[in-house]
Amino acid sequence: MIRSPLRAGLALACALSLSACGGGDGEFYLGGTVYGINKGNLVLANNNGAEVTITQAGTFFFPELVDADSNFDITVKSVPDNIESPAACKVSGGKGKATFNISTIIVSCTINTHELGGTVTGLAGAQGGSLVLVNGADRVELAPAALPAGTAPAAVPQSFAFAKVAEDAKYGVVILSQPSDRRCEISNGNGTMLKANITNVQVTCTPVVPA
Amino acid sequence: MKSTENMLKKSYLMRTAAALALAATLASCGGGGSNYTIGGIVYGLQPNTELVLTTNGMEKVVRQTGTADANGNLPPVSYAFDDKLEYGDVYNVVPKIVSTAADGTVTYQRPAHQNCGATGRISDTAGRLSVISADYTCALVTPSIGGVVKGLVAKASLELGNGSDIVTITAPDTQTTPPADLPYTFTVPVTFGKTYGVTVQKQPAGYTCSLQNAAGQITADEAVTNITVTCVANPA
Repeated sequence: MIRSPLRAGLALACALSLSACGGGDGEFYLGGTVYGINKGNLVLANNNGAEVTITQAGTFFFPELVDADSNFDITVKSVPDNIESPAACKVSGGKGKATFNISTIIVSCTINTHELGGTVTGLAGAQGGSLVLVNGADRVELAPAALPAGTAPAAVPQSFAFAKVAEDAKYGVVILSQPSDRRCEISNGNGTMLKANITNVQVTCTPVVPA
Repeated sequence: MKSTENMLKKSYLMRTAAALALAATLASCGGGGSNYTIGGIVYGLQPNTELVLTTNGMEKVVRQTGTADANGNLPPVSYAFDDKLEYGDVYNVVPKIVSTAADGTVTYQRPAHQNCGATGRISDTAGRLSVISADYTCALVTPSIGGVVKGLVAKASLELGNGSDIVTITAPDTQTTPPADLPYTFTVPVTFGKTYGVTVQKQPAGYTCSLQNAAGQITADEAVTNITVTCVANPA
């Protein structure tokens, strides 16, 4: 299904730039599948020479055909800026001899992740249950800390951390439930995860006086 | 080549021998020649839940007695119907039928908060395959979440997030005055038992939107449709 337009595309590419692939006895295409990227550019090289630039996960092929019986050796030359280094993209099936069309090279990349967390104040000493925060399906439950006698609840901050969030992804922290004797509010609760950990999600709880 | 021929010959001879043996002991196997066990494996079944399977007038309750491992994987549950089938019997292993509507739509019994689908050969003729494995795979339901946006004027755009899942709602050019409610749904559904928490990631220009029922946990099989967003114009 996917091959015939590709092949046609390759043929066209070859027709347009004879020097690149028409001249040699380039015969077989070389490609595979990329996982774990969500933007460009991932650049792969064959034998430190011919390159392919990939901008999205899925099927890729080198624009140049390779010679029959030539050895290929695929390396990661550069990665999108939300991936740490070329080492974070693993290549499997990247070495061999082209005796037929190759479409089995797998490149699996891991996008950076960063911490998401912050501080709760005013929760300490609450008697009416826990504070439950969510970031989508990720859930964090905080039991109120003990409150030493003569201390104000706000003087005992508590910290929390969610599962790490992928770089460039959005996050949004919401209160799922709170102690019955506190009313809590969030500031800096949402945004986009950039290159640094987010540690400034602030939850401020104030006592609720029973009516 | 030679050896294949020999094997064929041997198998033919053996078959003849079997037929002879059968003929000799007709009394013992004429009545109950049932020796095909119908069974399989149910994958992904949640702890303490049951999938009730049926075939050829038989019913089998497949129950998960195990629990998930550290990675959340559930042990596969193998099952076999109590009675065997005879050679040539046609079987079709399906969940127990709860009801059949007038239009022929069949409702099958499901394990609590799960959907199950066939992942093995659930229908065939006994004896055609050496191993009968009528497998099913179950998974927790994943209802969608969403609601309506109120007060969004023509062309105004709003971005909502549930964790890292983002939905953008833009009022059409043809939006009425006052604005009609605009329904929305997140693209990523939420697995039963999991939480959701919706925030406004980007407010429409000149407006501030706030949420009702922003956070919750999926405790039913039905879609969540009560996450209401209300937008009001910023004070001049």
